[in-house]
Parts: sequence; structure tokens; C-alpha cells
Amino acid sequence: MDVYKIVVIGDKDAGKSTLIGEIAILTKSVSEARINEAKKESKKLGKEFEPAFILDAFKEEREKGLTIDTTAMEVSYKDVAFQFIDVPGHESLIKNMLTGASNAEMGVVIISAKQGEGLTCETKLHIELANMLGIDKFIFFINKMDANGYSKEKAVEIWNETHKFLLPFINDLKYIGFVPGSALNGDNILKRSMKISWYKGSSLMERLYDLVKNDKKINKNMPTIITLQGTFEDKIFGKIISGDIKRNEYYYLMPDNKKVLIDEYKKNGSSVSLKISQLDKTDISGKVLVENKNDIIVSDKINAKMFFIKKPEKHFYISFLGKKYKAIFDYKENKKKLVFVNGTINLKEKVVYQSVNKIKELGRFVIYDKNLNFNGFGIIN
Amino acid sequence: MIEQNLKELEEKSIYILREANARFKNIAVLWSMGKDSTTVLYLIRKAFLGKVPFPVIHIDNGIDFPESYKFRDELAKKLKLNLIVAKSEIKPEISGFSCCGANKTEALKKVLKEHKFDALIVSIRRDEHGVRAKERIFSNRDKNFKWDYKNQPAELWDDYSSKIENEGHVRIHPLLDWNEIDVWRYIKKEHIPVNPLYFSRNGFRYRSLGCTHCTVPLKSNAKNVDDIIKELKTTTVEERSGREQDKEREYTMLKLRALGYM
Amino acid sequence: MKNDEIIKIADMLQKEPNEANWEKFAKAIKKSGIKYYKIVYVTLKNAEDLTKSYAELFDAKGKLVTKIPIFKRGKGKKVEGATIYLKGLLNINKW
Repeated sequence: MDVYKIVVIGDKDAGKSTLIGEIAILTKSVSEARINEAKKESKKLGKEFEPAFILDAFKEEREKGLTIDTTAMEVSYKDVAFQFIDVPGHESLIKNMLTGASNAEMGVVIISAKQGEGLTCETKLHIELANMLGIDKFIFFINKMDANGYSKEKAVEIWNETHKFLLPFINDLKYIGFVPGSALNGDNILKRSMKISWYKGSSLMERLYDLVKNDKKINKNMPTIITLQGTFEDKIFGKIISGDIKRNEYYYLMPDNKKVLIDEYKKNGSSVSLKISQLDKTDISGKVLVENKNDIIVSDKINAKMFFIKKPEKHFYISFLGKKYKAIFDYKENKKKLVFVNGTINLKEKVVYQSVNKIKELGRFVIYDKNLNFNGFGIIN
Repeated sequence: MIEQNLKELEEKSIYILREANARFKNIAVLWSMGKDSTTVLYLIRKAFLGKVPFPVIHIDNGIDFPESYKFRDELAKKLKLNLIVAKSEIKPEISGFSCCGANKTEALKKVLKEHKFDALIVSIRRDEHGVRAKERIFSNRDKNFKWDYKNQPAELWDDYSSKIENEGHVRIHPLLDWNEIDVWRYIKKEHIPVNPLYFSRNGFRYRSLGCTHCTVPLKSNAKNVDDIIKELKTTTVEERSGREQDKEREYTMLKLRALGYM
Repeated sequence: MKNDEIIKIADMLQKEPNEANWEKFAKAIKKSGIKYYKIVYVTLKNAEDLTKSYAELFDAKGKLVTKIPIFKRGKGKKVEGATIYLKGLLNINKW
């Protein structure tokens, strides 16, 4: 079965963990034992049964009602499997949110319809980050509809506010959907709820199902690009990120611009083992094999949109295709943290890259500060 | 239990193992003769041209199952493994746990220090236990084996850039995304040898293997891999309900992991 | 009788579970009719507790033949596990 990863974004109080827990229970994806364990935990803490307790594995999380790290909940629905990734909302845990979101294919954003809650700054930040990390399909679940009598006005209000927020980057989004409901009461999660009579759309799970089923993968004749990992004995290991490998075809090792022939290869899906006699004893880390040099850019300057967790500095490192490079960035502004910046970074050597919209693996990098601590990521325009 | 695409799982595991090889100088593999760590040995062979080019460590507390010792010696010979048997002592209990937890950590620390290993390939899976769901593919341990679970580094896309903290080591988890049933399906597909304890004898079998003093068999008539796969599709008993340790609270287990017990 | 020798060695092990006796056991077990074993164990708080655990040995028909300790008294009177000497036998523990 194909497993589709869905990141669930939302404010701590919006009911994310409850939603995921409820989905797991309704789709019968979690064992009786686990539900009972969660019930026992709830009782011990003097709380009413919390579906969220099915997820959180950390004691602190349960007792404070706060998610600290990502949790992946596997759910099966009809002939498809989803993995819901619950990410922490708190600013200090942004690393964990980025990790969870970076491997997801779609996002479910939970917004509370309760008075005084709604679309928070944190949620807005996370939507923008998730999009920057590569997610272009979102379903917005307007939760706690039971708190205001399932009123249409409130739902539409949030709907409009969210849409307004998305406008600046709407062109980067392939799909936006809205579903009003209630995680605690199971409204519009698995099945359409009669309580929200004014809403004529499908339930959250039905929407997700349609999205994955209609996700057509374009299979045009793509140019061959292989990123290289390292060597072992007389072989070179790599990953085919575009196209396919052909023996007795010439490839260019970039950025070296060396023309080579692949003598032998062995594939395990996209993981490949190559024998290239011309490259014996060559350092291949961070390098790329391409069929056509026009498909990539070679330069020591990169124009990127970057996100920094802590204040960006002039000197830092980036990790790109598994290799670390020293970077220099003339950062002028003065923001302290959680900064989005567009700019040019200069590297000490040339690298191979491409715009993230053309070849995503060649268009993104991780940022580390000068002490090699994680400090964010960048997307190449 | 969800059955994932085995080809894709294998492909990613191979990628992870090859990344580890490119990034670390002195890698070792932890082996318990269980189905997961044995599968990892076979994935390593797939990734490295049929060889297991790293030393394989068995932390031996002396009271493992006889079948496991036999399985170990036979497979080590067959695969020409560079086997390191590190003996661990049975020590006084630590936070209510005896046997497995405390003493294995000490032995492992010693072996890592002696051989200067900078990375350890470990077979944990995310679906095994709630707490293990928090792990990263490349996970840092400091020199005291402490796992700072509250402050894990980020791991974006398939970038496993690693920084070893102060004389620590990095744990590599090639099976993190695999489910229990995926492991058995792969074992069937690749004809990977299996510790006989997993198969039923006398109406009982072991679903998960610890040592003789902390593993309890479950009622089952599954006599081969096909039977086990069939059984997994129909039962929902948590895998480790056969291990005494996991009857304790999850939090204690988390603490043990933070202390360095695998 | 087929199992006389192993029963004799089991008695020796009960009195003196040293390396030499364990080696004798390992040789004798191959020639005996012993096929199965069951571990009867206590919760271990330290190495010494291992002396309270033991193994029951059964023949091919499942009949109890004898009992043996599962520890070895090494140098300096240190207790070590000795289940490796039961290599070749099959487990029939329940619950």
C-alpha cells in the first residue's frame, strides 16, 4: 500500500492531537489495547478520555497537554494509508515542526472556530514554512464548530481570513480545501455530519482520499540526474533523482565538467551503485552526474529564499546534497529570529543546483550556524 | 497493520546505509539475532555488494536463549561476519529494571570506546513503541549515551547531516519507517534466515526476543513465516506484550533510552 | 540408560557449576536423548540471583529428565550466565 504523509499544522489549542486521535479511532486504525491504555492515562490524570492520548508518547506531553516532538500516526482508509504527522506548535520547538513537515506531501491545517481562537500567527508561520518546505496542497479543517452552534457565519469568517493570508503565495499552491467540523464529536471527519447542514462538501477523510487518488504523477521523458553519495571499494553510490540510467551513455560529472561513461550499474529503485573507471580515486561527494549540462546551473553564488531560526550571520554553513559548504551572506537587517530573507549567498566553491520548482532535490539546502548547529533552510528560486 | 511498498522501503534503507558509510569513519552494527537486526544485516549486504563491511556487535549477558547463540554462530560463519561478542555483567538494578537495561549499556559503552566507533547501526522501528516514534534516522548520543529527546536536531528531507556531540556517536536507524509486518514480508521475499524462537512449538512462540529472563512467549500456532504474516494481519496484540520490561510505564522506557539503553 | 550420563553431569553441575563441568555437559548433551528445555527464572536484581534460576531438561517425548543450573562460577567466584551450553536444545516455555 502507498502511504501518504500528511502534516497536521495548528495551534496547540486548536485540537490537532484530538483530531488525529479521533481519525485513528474512527477508521479503526488503532488497537483496543492502545485505546484502553489511553483511557487509563486519561483517568489517572483526572481527565475525560482524550483521543490525543493515543498519540503523545512523552509523559510531559500527556500531563501538560503539549506536543514536544513529531508523532506519526498510521491510518488506513479504504484502499489507502495515511501517516498523520503531528508537529509541535511552540516556537522553541520549530526544529521538530520543520522535520515533521519536510517529509509530508500534503498539509491539514486545523483552525479553531471558538471565539478568541481562530487563525493564529503561529499557524500562519507554519503554513508558510510547510509551503516553503515543499507542500503545495492544504486542507483547512475548521474545528470546534460545536462551540458556536455549528454557525455558518463563523466558519465563513475564518475561511475569508485564511484565504486573504494565502493570497501572496497562492500561485505556489496546487490545492486549497475547507472543511468545517468537530474533532471531539467526530463531525465531518469520517462522514458528513448532519449537524452542519449548510455545508455541502465532503468530509475530511473523503477529501484527502480524493486528493491522493487524483494525484497524477507526470511521467514525461525526464533528463537523467544522479546525485552522488560516496564510494565503496571500486563502486560509486548515488541516487537517481530524475530520469533513468542508461549504460554506455555519456554523463557529465558536475561541477567538474568531466565526461564519463558508466561501465556497470546496479539499481535498487532510485538507489544506485555505479562502476565508472574514469572516476577511480576521485572525490565525488556533493557532486552530480547529468545527461545534459543545460538541466543544471553551476555557480558559487546562490539566490535563495531562506528561513533562519536564530538571527542570520555573515558566516555560516549550508548542507547541500549531503556535503557542507561555508557560506557568506551579507545580511543587513536586524531581526532577531524566525526570519524570512531573500538574498544571495556566496560559497567558496562551485556547486550544482537548480530552481526548486524544476528539480526539488537540487533546489533546497539546510542551514547551520558557524558552530554547526541547525539554523534553518533555504529554497533556490 | 499497514503493508508498505517493500521496494521503496528497501531503496530508502540502502540510501541511508550508504549515507552513513560516506559520513562516518568507524561504523559498527548492533545484532541481537532478532528478526529486525538480522534483516538489517541483509540490507547491509544489499547496500554493500553482498558484504557486511562493518564489525557486528552482540552484547551478551550470558543468559540469552540457546537457540539465539546457535543462530548467531551459524549465521556469523555463513556471512563471514566480523563478530564482536561483548560480555555484559548482570548488575544491580537501576530504576526498577534489572538485567537487560542497565548492564547492556555499560558493555556497549566499553566496546564503542575501545574500538572508537563513531556510528552504530541499530534496528529500531517507529511502530514498535510510542516512544521510539520520536527518533530520527540519524540520532545523536553523547559520550554517556544520553539521548536528549527534548532537544533533537532537525532532519529535513533526506539530509542527514550529522554532527557528533562531544565524543559521542550517532545511531543510524535504517528500519525506522518499516512496520512489523513489512519486516516479515521482506524476510519471506528475501529468504532471510530466522531465529527458530519466532516459530511455534508446543502451542507457543516468541513474537519479540529479549533474553531468557525477560521474554515471555505468546499463544500461537504460527510455524513459519507465512503463518506469522497471516497472524499479524488478524491480531492486534502489541508486539512487545511478551516482554516483561514493557509492562512498566512508557516513561521509564524513555528514561532508559535517554540513559543509553538501546 | 541413555540419559544416565547427563543426569550424572547435571548432579555435578548442581554442586560445582564450573567451566570444566560445563564443558563435560556440552559434550554429553549431544549424545543424550535430551531435546527440549524450559527456563525457570526469578527476577534478577543482581548476578547472584542467577543461582536461583535453573533449566529443566526433557527428552523427545517431553518427559522431564533432569534439572541444571544456568550459571557458571568463573574466576574470583563471579557468577556468569551459561545458557550457551544448551545450544542445540529447543525451548518449550509457556507464558
